Amino acid sequence: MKELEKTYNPSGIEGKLYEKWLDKKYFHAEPNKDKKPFTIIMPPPNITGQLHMGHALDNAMQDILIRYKRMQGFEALWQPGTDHAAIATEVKVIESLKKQGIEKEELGREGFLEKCWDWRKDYGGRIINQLHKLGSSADWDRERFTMDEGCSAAVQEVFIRLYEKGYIYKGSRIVNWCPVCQTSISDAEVLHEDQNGFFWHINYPIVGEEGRFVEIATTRPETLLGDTAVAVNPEDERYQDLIGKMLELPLTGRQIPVVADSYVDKEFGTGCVKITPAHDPNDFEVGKRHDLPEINVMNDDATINLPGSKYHGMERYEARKTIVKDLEELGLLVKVAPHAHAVGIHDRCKTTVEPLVKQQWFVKMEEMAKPAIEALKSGELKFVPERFDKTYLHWLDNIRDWCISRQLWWGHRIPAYYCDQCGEIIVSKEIPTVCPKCGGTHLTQDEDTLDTWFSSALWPFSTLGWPEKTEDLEYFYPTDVLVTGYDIIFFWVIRMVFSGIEQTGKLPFHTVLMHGLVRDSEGRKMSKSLGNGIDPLEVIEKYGADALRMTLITGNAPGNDMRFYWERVEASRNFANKVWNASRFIMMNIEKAPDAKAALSELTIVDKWILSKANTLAKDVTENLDKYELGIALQKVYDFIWEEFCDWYIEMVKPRLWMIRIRQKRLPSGR
Amino acid sequence: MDDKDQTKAAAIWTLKTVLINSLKLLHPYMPFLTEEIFCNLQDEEESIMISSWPEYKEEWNFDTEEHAVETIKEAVRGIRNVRTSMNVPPSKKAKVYVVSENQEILDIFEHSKVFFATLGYASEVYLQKDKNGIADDAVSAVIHQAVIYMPFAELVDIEKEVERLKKEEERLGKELARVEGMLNNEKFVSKAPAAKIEEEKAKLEKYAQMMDQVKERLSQLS
Repeated sequence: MKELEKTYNPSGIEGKLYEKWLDKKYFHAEPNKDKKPFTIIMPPPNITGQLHMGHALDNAMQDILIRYKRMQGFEALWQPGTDHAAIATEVKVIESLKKQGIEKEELGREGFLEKCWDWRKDYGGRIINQLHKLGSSADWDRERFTMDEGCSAAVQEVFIRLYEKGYIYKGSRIVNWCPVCQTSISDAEVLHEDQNGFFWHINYPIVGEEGRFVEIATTRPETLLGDTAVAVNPEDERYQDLIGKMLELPLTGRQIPVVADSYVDKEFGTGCVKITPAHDPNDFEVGKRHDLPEINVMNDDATINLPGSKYHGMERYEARKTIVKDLEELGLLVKVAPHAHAVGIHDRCKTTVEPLVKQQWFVKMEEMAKPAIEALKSGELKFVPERFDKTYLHWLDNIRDWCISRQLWWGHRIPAYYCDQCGEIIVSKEIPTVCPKCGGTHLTQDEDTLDTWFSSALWPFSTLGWPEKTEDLEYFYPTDVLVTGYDIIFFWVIRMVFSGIEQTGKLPFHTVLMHGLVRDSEGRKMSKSLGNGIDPLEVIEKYGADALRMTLITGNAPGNDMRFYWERVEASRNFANKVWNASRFIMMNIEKAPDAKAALSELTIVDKWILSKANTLAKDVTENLDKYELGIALQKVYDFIWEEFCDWYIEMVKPRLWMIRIRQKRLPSGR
Repeated sequence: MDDKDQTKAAAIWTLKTVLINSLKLLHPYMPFLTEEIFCNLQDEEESIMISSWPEYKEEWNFDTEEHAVETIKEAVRGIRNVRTSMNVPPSKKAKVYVVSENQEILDIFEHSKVFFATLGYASEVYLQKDKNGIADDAVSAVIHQAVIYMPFAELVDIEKEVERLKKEEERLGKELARVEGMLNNEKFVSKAPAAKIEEEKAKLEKYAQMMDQVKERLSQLS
C-alpha cells in the first residue's frame, strides 16, 4: 500500500495527473462497435477569449457529464475546438495594428488576413491551455477551428446548397448598421436600451391648401430628409380627404404623397406617420407596399449624404440639431415633447445602430424554422430546464430572414462571384473563369464575409467530418447533450437545430442543458468595467481546480444564475481535505487488500449499513445525473462522504481496527 | 474480544470498498483529488477515470441493518446533545441505559454494543425493558421507541460543579452590584448617552437571568 502525502496539495498533483491522462490518451474516443457513443460538442471559445467564470462553469458541467458517461462504459467524445470570432478578432487585430501605427487598409485584404492568422497562432491557443488547467477531458487530438479546412468546406457546402435551394438570396434590405464598426449586424446583436429622447412634432404643409398642415412626430428628425410619404390609417376618418394629396417636405423642396396603410396606429400621436423607407425597418415594408422610392440620406459613417444640401457631410446628431433649428425658424416645429423610448445599440461597441438599406445576403427562415419548432413540440428536442422552451419558441415564431453578410475581412468569404460585364452572380466552390451567361472573363468575388454564427451553426457535424460521410459522423452524430448559457439560445442553439435538420436530416442533439451566469457575491454581472471579475485561474492556483469545480456546481440549479463567494471555495477545499485525510487514515490502517470472500461472510451490522447506504447513493446519484441534476447529485455525494462515511462509519469501526493493534502490541510481552 | 477480531478484515474490506465507490461517484466533480487517492489506494486499475461507474447491487441492499444503525445513530445524537447542553467533556464516561419495551430495539443495541458504547461515551451499556435501577435524577434522551438514561452524578462531578457554581454566583453578584449601582446613580443616568444606559440595562437583565439559573442548579445539586 502506498501512502498519500501528509496534506492535500492540489498544485502538486493536478498538473502531473493531467499530463498522465493526456499521455495515456484517456480523453480520446474512436468509433467502437462494442460501445454506445455519447457525444458532447464543446461550445467553441473565441480565439480572443480568456477563461472566465462562465467558461469554467460551462466546461465543468460538460466534463462532469462526459466523465460520468465514460465511466459508465460509453465511448464518450467531448469534441473541442475554437471559434474564429469574426468581428471580435478583427477588432482586436485592428487595435494591435493601430498601436504599431498600421491601418487595416494599408495592408490590404491578404496582408490583414495574414496578421489575423498570426494573431491566432500567438493567442488563439491560450484559452485551450486554460481549459486544461480546469481538468477538461476533451479529446484534444480532435481539436478543430471554425476556419480550418474541413469547417470551411462545410461552410461553403451549406452556402451553396442553400443558395441552390433558393434559401439564400441577395436583397436590398434594411439592416442594422453600426457606423463605427462599419458593418451590418444581426438583430440578435442589437441591444435595446431605454433612453430619454424627444418627440419632435413637425408640420408638413399640404400642397395647394395654404395654412393647412399635417402634423407628424419623430424621434429622429434628421431622417426627414429621406421621407418619401406620410401614411395614415385607411380607416381614420379625420384624414380621408388627405389620402392621395401631396405635401411639401420641408427643407428639401420635394413633394411627397399621403398614403393609406393599416400599419399606422390611429391612436398613436396624431395618426400621421412620416415614411422613410431607407432608414426604418417598418417604413421599409410600407414603402414596398406602396412602391415608394428609397432615398438613402446617410453614409456608412452616419454622416448625411445629400449632395447640394447644406446638411451634406454633417454628422447625424449635428444634422439633427441644425434641422430642428431650421424648422423652428420656418415656424414648422410645433413642439418638442420628452419621450423615453428604446434605442438599438450595437452590443459590442455600444454605438447607436442606424437602420440602412444595403445589398446583403440573407437566409430565408420561414421554411427552416418549421421543423425546428416541430422538434421541440414533439419532444424530440428537450431543454433543461423546460422553461427555456418558451424563449426558443418565441424566437422561432418571430424569426426574420437572417442577414449573413458582414463587411469584414476575417471570416469565411462569401463564395459568390460577379461578372464585371453583365453582373451575373455565380455561386460556386471553385473560382469561375468564364461567366456562364455572357462569356465574360472578368469576375470579381464578393467582398463580404459570413456572420460568425454561420460556421458555428454547423459545429455539431462539421467537426465530425461533414459533408464527407465519415465513420466519425456515422458513429458520433447526432450528438447527445449541448451545454450552454441561456444568453445564446437565439444566436447559436436555434441555428444549430435548423442547420442540423436541413443539412443532415437529424437534430444535432436531443438535450440542451442550460446554465446561467456566474455573478459576483453581490449579484452583479462580472465585468471588466466594474472590475469585479474573478479569474478562475487565480482560484485554481489558490485552491485547486477541484475546489473551483465543486464550488461552481454546488447548489447550482440548471438555468439559474449563481453567485460566487470565496468562502464557498474554502468550503470546497475543506471537503477535499476531509476526503484526503479520511483516505489517508484508511490507507494507514489497511496493510494489504483483504480477501473479499472471507470479509463478506464477516460483515457486521455497521458494515452492512454503510454498504447499503453507498448502494442507494450510487442509484440516486446515477438517477440525478441522468436528469442533469448535477448540483443535487454532488450534494448527496458530499453528505454521504462527510457525514455517513467519515463522521459515522469511520468512527464506528475504529475500535475494530484498533483493538487488533493493541492486541498485537501486547502479544510480545504476554509471551 | 476475539470475536471482534475476526471482523477486522470485514471492516477493512468495507472501508476500502465504500471509499472506492465514493471516490468514483465524486470523480466527475473532483477528478484530480479522486485520481490521486484512487491510484495510491489500489493497484488493480491504473486510473479512476476509466474505471467503471458504481452500479446498484441488490445483494448490497440491507434494509434491516440500515434501519438498525439509524436507530443507534439517533441514540448517539441524543446522548451527545444532552452532554453538550450540560458541558460534559468527552473524557467523562457514564453508564448508559437503553430502556425499551420493544425487544427488537433492544436487540439492535445488543448487536451494536461496542461501537455504540464508544460513540455514546458509555462506560457500560445496559439494556432493559423498564426503569428498574435507574435513579430519578438520571438525564434522559428520548428516541423513537426507546429512552436513553444516564445517571446525573456520573455526568457531573457534583463537588466540583458546586464549587464552580458558587464561584459563578459570587462573580455574578459583583457584576449585578456594579450595574445596579450605576443605574441607581442619578448623575450617571442623567449624563450618560441613552445607548450606554440601554447597554447597562441589558447587562442587568442578562446577569439576573444567569444568576437565577446558577441558583436553580445549586439547589438541584444540594
